[in-house]
Amino acid sequence: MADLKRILLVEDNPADVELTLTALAEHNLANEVDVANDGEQALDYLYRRGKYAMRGNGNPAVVLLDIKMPKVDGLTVLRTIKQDKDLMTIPVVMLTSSREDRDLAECYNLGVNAYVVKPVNFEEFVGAVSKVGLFWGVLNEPPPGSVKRR
Amino acid sequence: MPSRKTTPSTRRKASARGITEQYKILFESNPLPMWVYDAETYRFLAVNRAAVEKYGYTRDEFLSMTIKDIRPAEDIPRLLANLSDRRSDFEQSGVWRHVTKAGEMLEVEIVSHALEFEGRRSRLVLVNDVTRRRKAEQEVHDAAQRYRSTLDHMLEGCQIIDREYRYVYVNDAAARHGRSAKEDLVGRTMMEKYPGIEGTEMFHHLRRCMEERVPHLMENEFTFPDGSKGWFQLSMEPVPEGVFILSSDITKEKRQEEELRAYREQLEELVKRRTVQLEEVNKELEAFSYSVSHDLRAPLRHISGFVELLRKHNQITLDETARRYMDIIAGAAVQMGQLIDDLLVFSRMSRTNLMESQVDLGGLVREVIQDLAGEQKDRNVEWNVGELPVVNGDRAMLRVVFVNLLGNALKYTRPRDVAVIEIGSKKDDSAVTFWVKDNGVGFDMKYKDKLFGVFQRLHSVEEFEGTGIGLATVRRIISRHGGKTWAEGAVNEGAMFCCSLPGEHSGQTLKGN
Repeated sequence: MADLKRILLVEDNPADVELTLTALAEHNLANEVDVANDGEQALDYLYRRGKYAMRGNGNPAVVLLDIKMPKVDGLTVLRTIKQDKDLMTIPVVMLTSSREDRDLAECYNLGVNAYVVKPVNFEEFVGAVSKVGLFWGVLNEPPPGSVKRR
Repeated sequence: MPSRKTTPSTRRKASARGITEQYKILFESNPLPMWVYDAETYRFLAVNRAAVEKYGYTRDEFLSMTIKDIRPAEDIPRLLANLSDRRSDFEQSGVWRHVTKAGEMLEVEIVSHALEFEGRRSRLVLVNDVTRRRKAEQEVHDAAQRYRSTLDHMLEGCQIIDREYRYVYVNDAAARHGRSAKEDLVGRTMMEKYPGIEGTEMFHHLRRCMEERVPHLMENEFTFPDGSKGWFQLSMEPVPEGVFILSSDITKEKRQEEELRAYREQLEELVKRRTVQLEEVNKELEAFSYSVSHDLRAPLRHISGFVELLRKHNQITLDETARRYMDIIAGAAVQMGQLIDDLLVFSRMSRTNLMESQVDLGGLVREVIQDLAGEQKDRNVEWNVGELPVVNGDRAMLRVVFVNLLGNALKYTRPRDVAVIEIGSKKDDSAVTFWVKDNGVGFDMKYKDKLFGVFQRLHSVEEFEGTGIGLATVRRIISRHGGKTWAEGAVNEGAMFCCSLPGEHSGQTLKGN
């Protein structure tokens, strides 16, 4: 098995977190996931602040980002990442319920790397999430400086 | 014999006779009609040649007539009164009416003189036919009268102002416009009548017209001495006497114009306000759809997900019934997810702007048929795609139309061994119509109005799955293109769904052919 890199899942809904982790577990990716429960936590994680102050150096291999979240929403997180020269190389995949054109358009304008609408059907959901995890977490070679599995 | 009563003298008898002869000739050959009549019996005693010619009676006829016989009957009383009222020998008795033998009415000026003729008291009459002159005079008089009365009664005000700014002529309308009686105006100057008028713009133009002899047309708001106001259109024209002013009261028009302008402004304001309201509603609707899109789908995903997890959970053994319940729960979640998706499409088709371009319907249909490959798996489907036009429209929306119509055709032909689906079009001057026709289960025409309603279904979900939003979306899209949708069919005999797009959407090929 190739080296696994950290995946940051930003998702406020615990049910969605559990389903996503379950889906990723299908390919044994679940243990490599750090979960942030809203945009603020995600930014703390990326900037190593607050409860993530002690986190080691390095960016995650990919950020799986929900759009609608309390406090700081996914679009703001995306904008922050893509405008920060230290973060902008992190691949960001939107993982969201919204297939609204304006969300799609805005995410791509901000420089998102992929946009995945969560299917309602669980099998499709598992398929979609595990493919995303496999591709970005395993297949894709992340930019230098990503956190590698120890 | 026309001659003053003479006192003949023996000595001059012979020469006197000669003179008498000459007078006779003067009488007989005078170019003006002349006659002598008996002052008592009014009988003609002598007539000259000119009278015979003018009146048409022979000399003998004349001599058997009286002077009453050449008058219209209604003039005779006046004639008799005049004859009895005779005071002097010589008389210019004015203009009379005579009638010729042929019945022609003459107007004649009569000069007469008393004389003794063949021993009888008589009068010599000289006739001057003034018929033609009188007629000409009458015509001039009538014409003047007509012009005067036309001017007087014109709707426009007419006034003539002389070089001292005095009202020389004022018609009824001008007096009305000036809120004065004609008598109060004519003869007075404008300055007397309207003190301070010299300072007005109107007077400035009038003075220019008066002095520089140039016409001027203007609209003027006039303030009357009582403070009321009126709008007039004034046309000033230099005339020999001074200036002719034609005035129209346009107060009403001006008021209407103002009202109209105010009304238009009000309307614009209203439209602006409504647009803002509409935009707000639209924004709310968008926020609502966004919420539906995001928040309603999440719990469904959770139901579906955890049912699945429960099913796979190895700590629980499920019997047949429990597994069936799980299937129903999962199926319901998927169905609701579909409903939400369809409703979102429907609402998006209603609120997003049309992005018009040239759309090749033929290419679009082939593309959609390929997309629907999943639904054609293990089935025998015969596609008959006829000639389809290039139209002006929103490609993404028209795609939704065909996805729905072709998807329906595939769905409802499922019981057929061979599904035959025909897509065709026809054009006329005003519209292009295209249709999708199938040999499927069809429908009862009495429900044709229900077909295009939201959530309206003619089949149970067991027979044919669906949300009842597809055709409503089709209708909404076509109507946003200004077109119409309708359907024909019969139970078990297939269905045909038709859409028409009006001329402006029907594309180039329509114009070309």
